[in-house]
Amino acid sequence: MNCSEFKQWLDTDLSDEDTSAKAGKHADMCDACKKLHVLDSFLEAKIRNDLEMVAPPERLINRIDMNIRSAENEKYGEKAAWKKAAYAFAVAAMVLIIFNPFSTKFQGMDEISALTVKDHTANLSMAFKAGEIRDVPRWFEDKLGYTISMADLKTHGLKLLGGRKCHLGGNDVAYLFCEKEGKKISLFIMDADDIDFDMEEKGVYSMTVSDCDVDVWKRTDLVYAMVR
Amino acid sequence: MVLNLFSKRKRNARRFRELACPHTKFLYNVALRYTGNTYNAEDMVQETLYIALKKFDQLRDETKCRSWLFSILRSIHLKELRMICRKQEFDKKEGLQYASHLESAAGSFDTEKAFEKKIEKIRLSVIIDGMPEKYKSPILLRFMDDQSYQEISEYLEIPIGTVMSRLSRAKKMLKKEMLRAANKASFTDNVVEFKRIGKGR
Repeated sequence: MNCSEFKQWLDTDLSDEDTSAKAGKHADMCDACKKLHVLDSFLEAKIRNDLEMVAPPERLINRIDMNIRSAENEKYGEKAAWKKAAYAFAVAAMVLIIFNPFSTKFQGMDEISALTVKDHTANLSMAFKAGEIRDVPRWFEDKLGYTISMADLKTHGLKLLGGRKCHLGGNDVAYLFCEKEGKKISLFIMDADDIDFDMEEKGVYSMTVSDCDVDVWKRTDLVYAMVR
Repeated sequence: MVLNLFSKRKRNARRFRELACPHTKFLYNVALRYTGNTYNAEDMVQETLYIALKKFDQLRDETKCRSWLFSILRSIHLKELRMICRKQEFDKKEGLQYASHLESAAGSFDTEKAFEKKIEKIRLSVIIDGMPEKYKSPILLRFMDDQSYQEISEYLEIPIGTVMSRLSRAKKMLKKEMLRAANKASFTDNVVEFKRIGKGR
């Protein structure tokens, strides 16, 4: 291979291994072409380095997660009218059979888990984001009329992302949107006076509703429901 | 029945998370090169995944999820390009052969180190931003995602020969622009600023 063929090789880019080997051999013997080869490899390396993938921002991952959850619900809304009616009828029947609709208090674990899971999957709105409110328990006290404790967030390793007042089965409860190991978790905090059944303070009641794990426990005057 | 419907939706979402979400990084990086800024790239990825979720039932071959997502992202990008009627002028800047450009650069820089230093300072994203999409996409798939010619051909739905020629042309374009930028930078480096001497009062 001569210098002219070497330059042609540089221009074509699409050459077989044999031609590339010949070009390499020529560059080893010719200083001018060797310099061209070195400069070309700098350019090649620069392209590779600058096009290396970067990690997407955390906020994008969170938004995608929220979009998927919200699209799930939207998809449900697009179902045929008869399916909507059937669902509404089934929900009404369930409410009539299982719960006592004339009482606003929570009648049992099933009611708490069903309502919290429904809110967990359907309602993504937040009244405040973490950091916006200095005294979160005080904020809820003003809205709910009872004081909540944030101690259980630390116990369960939850990081607060936001919160709002939430209406569950006729009762106002505190809703905290949290994160643990990248997973979104909802923590509902209820006044124990709104519970119309016996609950022991020791232990945690765990159940699975619609693919969501729900843990319910009682501490002092508050009942916690964690949905994940 | 209600719980069944509910859990079916959940299963679908879970499957989508398993199949599509791992490609977020890839989609984000392609979008970043397409749009040139993080905010537009984030919007583009969100739109892509939203469309993908809506049409998730249409994905027949789960092993092709990555290329399916890429084709959605690319069509969004092409649609946006059409809307803003953006024309990249890269194509017309042909002129000399690449080797001639390289030869003239070799003459301009005394040492290889000096050349390397200059090249390092170049903002490749700006150059890539000016490339036509038909060259930009193969370059991104090849250099960013290490794809083979065959894979690029499948992703872009073009014959393998076209992939090879477009890649070759795209690389030359890119390198020529990098050389231009390096020469320009070395020229401005040599400009000596003279102090203006005012007339005495």
